Formats: sequence, structure tokens, C-alpha cells
Amino acid sequence: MAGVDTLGMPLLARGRRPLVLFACAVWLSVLLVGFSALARHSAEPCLPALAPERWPAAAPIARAAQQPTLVLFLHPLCPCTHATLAELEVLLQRWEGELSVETVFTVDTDADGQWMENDSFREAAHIPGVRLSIDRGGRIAQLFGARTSGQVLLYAADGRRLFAGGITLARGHLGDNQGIEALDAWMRGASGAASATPVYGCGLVLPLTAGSPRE
Amino acid sequence: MSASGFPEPVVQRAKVLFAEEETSLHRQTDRLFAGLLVFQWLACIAVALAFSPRAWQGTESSVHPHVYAAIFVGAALALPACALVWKQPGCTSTRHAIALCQALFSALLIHITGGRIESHFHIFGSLAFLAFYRDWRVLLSASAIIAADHAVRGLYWPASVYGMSLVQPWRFVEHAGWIVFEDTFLIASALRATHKLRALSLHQAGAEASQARVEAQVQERTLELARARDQALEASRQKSEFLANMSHEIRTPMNGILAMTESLIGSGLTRQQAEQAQTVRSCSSTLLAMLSDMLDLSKLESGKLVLDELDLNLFTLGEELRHVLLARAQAKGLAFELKLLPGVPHYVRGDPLRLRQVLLNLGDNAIKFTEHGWVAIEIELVPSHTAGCRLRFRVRDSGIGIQEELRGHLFRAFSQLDASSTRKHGGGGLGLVISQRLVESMGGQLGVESTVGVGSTFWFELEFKPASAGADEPKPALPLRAIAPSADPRRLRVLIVEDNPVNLRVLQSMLQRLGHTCLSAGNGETGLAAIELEQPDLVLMDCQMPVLDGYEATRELRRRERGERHQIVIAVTANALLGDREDCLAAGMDDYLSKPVEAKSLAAMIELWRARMLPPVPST
Repeated sequence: MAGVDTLGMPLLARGRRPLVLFACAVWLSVLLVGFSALARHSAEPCLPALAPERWPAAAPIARAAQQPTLVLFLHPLCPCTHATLAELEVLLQRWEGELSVETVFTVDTDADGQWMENDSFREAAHIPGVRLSIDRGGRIAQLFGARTSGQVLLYAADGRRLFAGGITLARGHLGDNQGIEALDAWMRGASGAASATPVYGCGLVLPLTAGSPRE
Repeated sequence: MSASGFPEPVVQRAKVLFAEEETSLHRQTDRLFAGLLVFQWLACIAVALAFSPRAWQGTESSVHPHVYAAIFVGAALALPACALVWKQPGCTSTRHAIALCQALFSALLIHITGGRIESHFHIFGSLAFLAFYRDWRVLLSASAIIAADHAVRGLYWPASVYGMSLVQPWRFVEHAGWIVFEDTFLIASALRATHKLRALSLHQAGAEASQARVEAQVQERTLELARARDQALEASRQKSEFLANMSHEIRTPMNGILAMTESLIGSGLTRQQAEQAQTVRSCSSTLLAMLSDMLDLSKLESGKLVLDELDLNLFTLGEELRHVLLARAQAKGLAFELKLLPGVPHYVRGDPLRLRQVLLNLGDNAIKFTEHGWVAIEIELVPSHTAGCRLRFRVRDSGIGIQEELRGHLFRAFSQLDASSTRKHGGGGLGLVISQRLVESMGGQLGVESTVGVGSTFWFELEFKPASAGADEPKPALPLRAIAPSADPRRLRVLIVEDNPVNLRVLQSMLQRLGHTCLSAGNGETGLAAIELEQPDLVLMDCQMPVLDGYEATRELRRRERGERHQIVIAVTANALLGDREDCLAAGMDDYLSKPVEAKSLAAMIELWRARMLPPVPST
């Protein structure tokens, strides 16, 4: 049994030191594993879109004829949606009036309550120049090949797809990222800008026949 | 002497005090952090549930990994640190482990809030909180962990700390720089506080040393005082013992002198011889009175006086006083009056002996200092707020009066207003002092009003409890052994238990003159045998005797009687201190006569008890 020093501080018995060191090592390992798993989960990209090269003619949403059109697919209950909308707002502050933005919320066919009345809708509606669409059952998303919430597609005025990817640097993580940089580059008209970036988020609501994206 | 100017033991003590204070601070901060870590754990879970409760796959959902992370990683941070606080509070390793956990909690919080800039402030708050330890090493530990976390993440996943995928090397330096910036102030503050604590410990150690010196001196003085007190108490005890012995030793021969003088006076002397013998008797009486006063005062001053609480007949007391004082007043040609004003109750509860003594003293004093005119004693009822009654006693005279400036000396022991060698009035100057002390012990205050040439009034007021129920009803007859019917009821058989032959002869002489038959025994033991054998009508019992004293003999007698009969025993003793009467009654004696016994007192006492012992007269 360990004693105490003159101030009543417990002294570690020599025989127990290896045990304590082992416990410390186990503890630190647990922490390392925990934080690593968390980091891996945040940084692991989700299913990218199988987006058509040109604007689908059957799309029920309109494409701007004079300027590029950005389509953002979102799951209204995905926690990462807030980060994506925050990044979109930053982007639109730079390209106000030069970019047409369509935000498509994929919801269940008979969605109401929790699905339709939440912060994601309010935040999206608050961004100036953003049009909101409700995609019941995910048919629009399927049409554009989007599978993950946070998927951004940029189409040129002539209907060509310029960009497909996410605009957050990790799952639900705010901050500068390659997606925003690529969009900025496309809007500046830079040639050779990135056409795809990883996308992070929950799986969108899709028709049953669609592939099953992983979270 | 050390470099600090304090003696080395003080410096060593200061080190101990500093270490104790520092440990106490560390333990206190450990406890605060234990609470904070648990709070942060719960807060992380709450934040995870608020920001990312569920992960969605289309319309299906599951618990979000952030919630699991908050629960399990949070527990891995909070619980081991709490366990260390519980098992090893105040240890260096505990606070460094807490620093590690606190820094990693910042990382967890930042992560589950999606890297919000606001959550980064947790780092700075944590460092400030860690500064509570006043240990700069702890701040360095936490800062090193934060820096290492940034370095590793910057290397493998820069976006998670810098918010971008490609980062310049200086970003790490910038982040670390801000930490160092805060640490600079916190460390400076910690060092300053530590320095101040050291100085305080040194001062406290100095103060303790001073206090210890003072306490040692106080203890020494206390011991000296205790020794002095013990010596004083012992001296007082010896004085009391001496006085008690003196009382007995002086009174016994005085008894003999007075009694023999009285016998001498009644033995057909010539006129001149009779006058000389009367002078001897008068001087002896005065000497005895002074001795009694001194002994009474001694008893009062030692606080050994115990007051009786008996039913007291004020009218009987008045009659006794009148009887005694009237004769003395008439001898000086003075008028004397004793008045009980209307409303004065017959019976109250109090100490009749003490009250009688005070009034006799004051009455005697009034007679002594009055040459012409009158002396009066008045007892009147005054309003009282208690259930009992309050009586005012006034002793007035038409004497010489007392000058105002001399009244302050009245109640000082051994002080007389006329201290000149040619003073007219005798006495030891103790009567008023004893009276005042007695009145005070009964809860009153003795006062005096006087006009020179007109007279003086001594007064006091006392509160009395009401007499017990039936006090004024006739008392039932005591279970006394009755006088043998065949004997002449005026002649009693009296057993004198007395070791001193002079006293024995005196008493025998007096009893024979009164017509009674005398038996005698030399000590308590032979006295008990004589009582059993002779069954006397009355026993006169000396108190201090060899073999078996009067107190023990009476106790033994009462034990043997077992309440079946009651032998009358009257104490006759030279123990004249206040309280001796109580001792005699407590031992089982029936009454008390103080030596030297006057023939009249003895006759009255025997007459009193003879009347009580007479068999009841059969009703016709």
C-alpha cells in the first residue's frame, strides 16, 4: 500500500509503477483511437454525384440562360447542412447577381413537421438570391445523379456541367475549402479549375431504385 | 540567522507553511477541475445532441457518431482525471493529467461544433483556468499538448485546424504564438502570486514564533499564579482551621471563667468581692462577644455561610428582640419600642437566626450610641412584584448621629468612627460589617440616614417567600420520648456528654441549681452506652470529643433509634462559627447552645424541651 509524504501527498509504491504506466498507456491509446476515429469519420468523403454532363432537359427546375446556375442538393435533417449553407452564403456574397442558385431539399414523399419546419429551410431562405425547391421522393436529385447532402453542381449558361462536388472541407466543418476555391475559379472564368471535389454529408432521400449512398 | 533576516527555524517553518498552502491550493483547484471536467463532458453530449443528433441515410436515421464521441471520448477525458483527483489530490501528476484532458476537451468541443470559431475560445479559457494552480509547468504542459495537436493535425489533416487543405508553415507558428502570448501573462501572474505566498508564509511563521513565545510566557505566568493561588487557598484553609480551633480552645476556658465567676457571685461574697467578680464576668462577656464577631466575619468572608429557609414567625421574633433589647435600653434609661406595622404577615420563609442577629446588632448599636431619648425598631410591608412579600426593617434612635463624611467608614471591618485612645464606646467595629454582609447574603442592602445631634436610622429591605401551607397551624407533637409519668415533671434526668472536666463541672453546677439530676459520660461512645442504659430525659452533647465526637455519636444514636423513639439531644459546643448550628442539626441534634453557656439560656432551653416532652393532658 502506498504511503503519504509529509504533506499528506500519496506516494506511489515502487511495485505499482509499471501498472500505473501501463494504465496511462492504455488511457492515452484510447484517446488516440477515439480522436483518430473522429477525424477519420469527419474527413472521409461520401458518394459523389453521377451528374449528367449537360443540364437534364426533364429537370423541373429552371436553368438561367444568361449566367451559370448552381444547384445544391440538401437533406433537411443532415447536421452538415448548416456548414454547407454557411459556405454557400460566403460564396454568394462574392458573386451576388452573377450566379443563379437553386437549393433542392430532398424530402420523403409524405414529409411534414420535422422535415419541413426546421432551421435548414430557414437558413436557406435567409440567403439572398437563393431559390428553394422541395424534392419529394428525390426524383430531381436522381435526375441530376446527386446522392449526398451538400452536393453542388455548377452548370454554365449553355447547359454544360462545370463542377460537381462539396463546398465544406470535412463533414459539417466550416472553413476555406477546395470546393469554394473551384467555384470561385469557375466564376472568374479561369480555365483548368477543379471540376470535382469530395462531398461530405448524409445520404439524400432518393427513389427506392436509386443506389444507396453511404453516410 | 538566514539571508532573509529571519532565524533558521522560522525559515524552515515558512517552507512548510508555503508547501501546505500550495498543496491546499492545488487540491482545491483539482476539485474545481474535477467538477469542470464532468460539466464539460455533459456539455459536449448536450452540444452533440443539439448540433448533430442523428445521421441520415435518406429517410432512415441512426445516432450520429458525434454523440458517441461526446459520450465515450468525453468519458475517457473526464473520468480518469476525476479518479486522479479522488485518489491523488494535489499531486503533480494529477494536475498535469488535468491539463492534458482540458486541452483535449478543447479539441473535442471544437470538433463536434464543426470547427466554429467561438469554440476555439475554450482553449484560452482553459489556460486561464489552469493558471489557478499557480504552477507555470502546468501551463506549459497544456500549451505543449495544444501545440502538438496542431502540429500533428497540420501535418496529416490541416483542414481540421486551419480550415484549409493547403497551409503555409507559418500558420503553426502563428497559432503557437497566440498561446505563448497568453501564457506569458499567465505565467508572470502565477510567479508573482507564488512570490507573494512565500512572503506571507514567512510572515506567518514569524508571527507563529512570536505567539509561541508569548504563549510560553503566559503558561509560565499561569503556573506561577496557580501556585500563588494554591498557596493562598492553603493559607486560607489553615486560617479557617486555626479560627475553628481557636474558637473551641478559647471558648472552652472562657466558658469555665464565666460559669465559675457566676458561681462565685452567687456564693456570698463581700460587696467589694462581688463587684470585682462582676467586672471579671463583664470583661469576659465583652471578650467573648468580640471573639464571636471576628469568627462570624471570618466565616462570611470565606463564603461558607449557608442560609436556612424556614417558616419564620415575625411576631415571635419581635417578642424575642423586645425581650432582649428592652432590658438593655432600660439599663441606660432609654425608651424602647418595637412595632410591626399593619399588613406585616405572621409567617414568612427565611433564616430566623440571621435576621435576629442583624436586628440585634443594629438594636445594640443604637442603644450603645444613644445617651438620651429612645430606640425603636419598625417592620413594615412594602409593595413587591413577586409572589412573596417585601419587608422594610428600620432601627431608629435619637442618638448622637453620624457626620455625612464619616458614613463611608461605617461598614469597613475593624473601623470605628471614633478611633481615638479616649473613645467612649467599646467594641471591635465588626457589628455593622457583619450585619451588612448578612443582609447582602439574604439579598438586601443595608442603608443609613442620619442627622448629627438628632439621631440615625439604619434600614434594610428583604424579599421573603411566602410561608409554607399550614405554617401558622399548630405543629403536631414530635415523636419524643415522654418523661416517665412517675417522675416529677420539673426534675429531669440530664446526661452530660463532655470530655472537659471544667465544662462538665460548670454544667453540672448549673443543672443542679435548676433542680435536675445529672449523669455524665466522657465521650460519644460512653455517651451512647449511657443513653442505652440510663435512658435520660435529655442529653447535653459536646461536639468535639476524643474517641467519638458529638456529631458521630448523634448520627449513631439516630441510626439505632430507627425512628421508633427520639432522644432529645442538645448540642453544647464552643464551635461558634456561623453554620455550626446547621452542622449540629444536620447530624440529628435537636437544638444548639453555644459555650459559654449562660444559666438563663440553659434553663430556657431545658424548659422549652421539657414542655414538649410532657405527655399530653388527657381530655376530661
